[in-house]
Amino acid sequence: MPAILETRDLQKQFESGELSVEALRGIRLQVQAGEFLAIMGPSGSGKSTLLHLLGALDVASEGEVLLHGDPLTQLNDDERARIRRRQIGFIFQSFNLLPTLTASENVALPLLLDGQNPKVALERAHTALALVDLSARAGHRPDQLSGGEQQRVAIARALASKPQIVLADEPTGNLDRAAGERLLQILRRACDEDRQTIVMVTHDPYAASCADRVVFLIDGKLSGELSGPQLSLAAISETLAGIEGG
Amino acid sequence: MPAILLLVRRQIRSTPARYLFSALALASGVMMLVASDMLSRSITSEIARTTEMEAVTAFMGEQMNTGLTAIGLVINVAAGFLILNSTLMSVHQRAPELSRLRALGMERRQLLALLGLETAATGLVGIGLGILGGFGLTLGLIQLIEATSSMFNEFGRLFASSAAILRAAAIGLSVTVIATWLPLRRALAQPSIAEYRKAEESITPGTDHRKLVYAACALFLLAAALIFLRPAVTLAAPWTDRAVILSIAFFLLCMLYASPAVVGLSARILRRPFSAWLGIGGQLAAENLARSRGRVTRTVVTLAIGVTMIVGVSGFLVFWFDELFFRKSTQSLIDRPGIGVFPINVQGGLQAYRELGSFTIPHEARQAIAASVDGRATLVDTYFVIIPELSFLGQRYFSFVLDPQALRASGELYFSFSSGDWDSAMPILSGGCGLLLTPAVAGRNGVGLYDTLKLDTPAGPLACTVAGIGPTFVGASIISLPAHAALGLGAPVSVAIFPDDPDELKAITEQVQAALTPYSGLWTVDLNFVTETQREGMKSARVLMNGMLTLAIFSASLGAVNTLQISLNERAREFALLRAIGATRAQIRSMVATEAACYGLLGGILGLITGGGLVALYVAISGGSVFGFKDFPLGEALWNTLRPSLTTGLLALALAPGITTLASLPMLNAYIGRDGFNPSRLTPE
Repeated sequence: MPAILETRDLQKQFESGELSVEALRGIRLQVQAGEFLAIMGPSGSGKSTLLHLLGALDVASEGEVLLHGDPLTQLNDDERARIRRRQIGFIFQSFNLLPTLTASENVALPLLLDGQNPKVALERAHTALALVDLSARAGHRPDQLSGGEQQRVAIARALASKPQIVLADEPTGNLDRAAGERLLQILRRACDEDRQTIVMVTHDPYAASCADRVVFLIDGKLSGELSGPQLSLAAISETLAGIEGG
Repeated sequence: MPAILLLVRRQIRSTPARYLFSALALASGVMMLVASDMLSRSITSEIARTTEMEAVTAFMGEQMNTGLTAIGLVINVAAGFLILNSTLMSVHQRAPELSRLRALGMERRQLLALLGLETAATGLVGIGLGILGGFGLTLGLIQLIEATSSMFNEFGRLFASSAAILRAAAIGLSVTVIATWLPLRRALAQPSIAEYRKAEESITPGTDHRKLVYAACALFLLAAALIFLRPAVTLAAPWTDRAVILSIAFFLLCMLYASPAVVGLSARILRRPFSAWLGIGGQLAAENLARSRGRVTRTVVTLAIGVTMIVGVSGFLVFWFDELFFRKSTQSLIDRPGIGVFPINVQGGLQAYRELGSFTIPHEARQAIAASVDGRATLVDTYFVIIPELSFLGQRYFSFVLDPQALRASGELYFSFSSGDWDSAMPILSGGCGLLLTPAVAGRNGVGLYDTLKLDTPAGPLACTVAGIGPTFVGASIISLPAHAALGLGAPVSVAIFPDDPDELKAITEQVQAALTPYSGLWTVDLNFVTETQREGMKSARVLMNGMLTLAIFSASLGAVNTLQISLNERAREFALLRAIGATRAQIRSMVATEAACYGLLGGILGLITGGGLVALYVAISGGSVFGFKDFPLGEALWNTLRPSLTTGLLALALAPGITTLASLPMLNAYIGRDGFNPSRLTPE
């Protein structure tokens, strides 16, 4: 089965004056359609950078990112923007909701940016909010919601346009245990029932254990993965400890 | 101290635009103060070479100085708003940084020194630029005047007095200190906890509509009071001035009180049409106006100050020059036309004064005029003198010295009575020092009809009696001729000739011209032409003022641009999010440009309303009372004044949104451009 997302010898360098930092080095990764992939690694290993490149938020220094076999690097800025709002949903650690919009408006935002009819967009937003059990809070603004509720709004926003790919950067990082579990259940359901592809960056072994496959990143390079029967909370924790222990 | 200096340097280097805009705004105000002094000196310094010339021209320099200084002061106020706004925003933005500094052990006085030095740097740079720029501005003003005026065509040496420079610097410094007082207090109140988190701005439901209602009620009451009490008719000087000041202060307070509500309400009103017109970008633009209402309001008010000034000053000048100054003369010269003999080419403007040796009518020429007229006309020998107590405007406005018999016989050009009459006045005017005054001058001196006023003259104190109160020609006070010796006057400066039969005007003009042929340096002109030339000169003053007021718009627009700059910086993460979820650069540009235009538009509309209100108040309260006109057509004067002043304001209204929109787009590129879209902004600090 062809991969929905693929990277070929992906490299990313950040220049700052005379300093050059290699965030990613020769990453080769394939993500299958409908797969739930977790990316783990110590701080500064390049996890978020990889996620940004997969989501067409950033452009690689070298190598390719392929979406349905088409290279993202050849697209211009507006084309990448369109892909982000139609085919990719983002969930961030810090929610990143717009403070002036209500929950339903925040969820509808990508649809409205795509020029969809506002009524239709809001209906779809309400449907997405229902999926995350927040219908009753649709008219509330972010400052009127708890952290867990804000993150569920962010998930609804990511799912509202029914994207093929959902990218989540430390989605449980700012949540308590219960809220985090709830979020993971929603992502798991989106993967199982709607065949959406989930790529999640996480520090949390428990969150990673909900995935189908876990890859480990160290110093910008892939260095191992766990999947299938090998994938357990204990195995993940052990691998992570080994990596962080040096 | 070295640590603080290091922090100051780094901070200024990291956000140079903010400090530069603040310094430029301050510089524009200081520049105006310096230029006003230089310009007024250059007009009169080379021209007023004799006592008579000084008497005629001194007021021009004084009034120009007063007018431009007033504009300079208001520009400084606008700059103060800008500095207040940007410093408040900066303190808010740097709250985590300041908290960390406190957590690391920085004392409050050190924090004060840090922020104070940043402010001082802005102030000093602004003042320095302003003083240097004052010279350049003066040259620019002179170019503008010479291009638009046939009257103001001669300027002397350019120099600024040290007193004027020091005053401008002191005002600039005061504005800076006052404007940063509140932000510094807020900064000192920051808690010293290391993990201080900047609170997300919460959008509180608006209760502002009540403020709007209260302000509207107050203004309605003010309008009702004006309509029913009719102060233009019932009040006299100095109460008119006091009523004007109180009403204007009350009006401005109401407008200021209502301005946050106006901003909030506008944002709410604009949400739907912007959303329909521009989609989600328009909606976000409208909502961004509603959040941080304090900041948006201060920015809008700064812009409004500029437009208010334009409308207010335009209205003031239109009212004075078109409705008051020449109201009397136009009709009087229709009823009793006349000609004047002058020792200067009236058409030559100020340049004509440069070539003059004498500024008086020679005695032999005066006799030749009388002989040629041969009793068919009234001759009015006109003398000019500066008596500060009798000065209609400022301290150096001239007064006439006229023969009472000739004055009475010449018609109503020079004077008409609103209190008193000729029969009662003549014995006073002929028997000693008699005065004919406007109500404004009489009120200022606290004298009424037949009261005594002591004047300081070269011969010592002179007791004069008020023989009549009413409108005078161009507002100048009239002293009767018997005071001539005490005032130390020489020959007359001009002779006005009023034919007894208006049909003989042409013939008498030719005969007078023929009689004066042997005397070079004398010009005979129709008095209508003289007043027309004066009108032209006043129009030039209006052009000059409007030109200066564009500086006010520039300074105010800097405020809006500065606010936008800081706002964009604050919202870098928001822009990154919008880009992350698929907004194109064009969509974000559209949103920010709409916001920027709204700042300009709201400020312009608020300024238009405020300026129009100020003009209406001034006209409605003072009416014709300054001059003492009977049956002054208040409604007509109000309409004639508001129409051109609001038209001028509309031009300013068109400028402001354009400036703010054009300035916002290059700044935005730093946050959404190809290299500027930094996904790392999406992750928390």
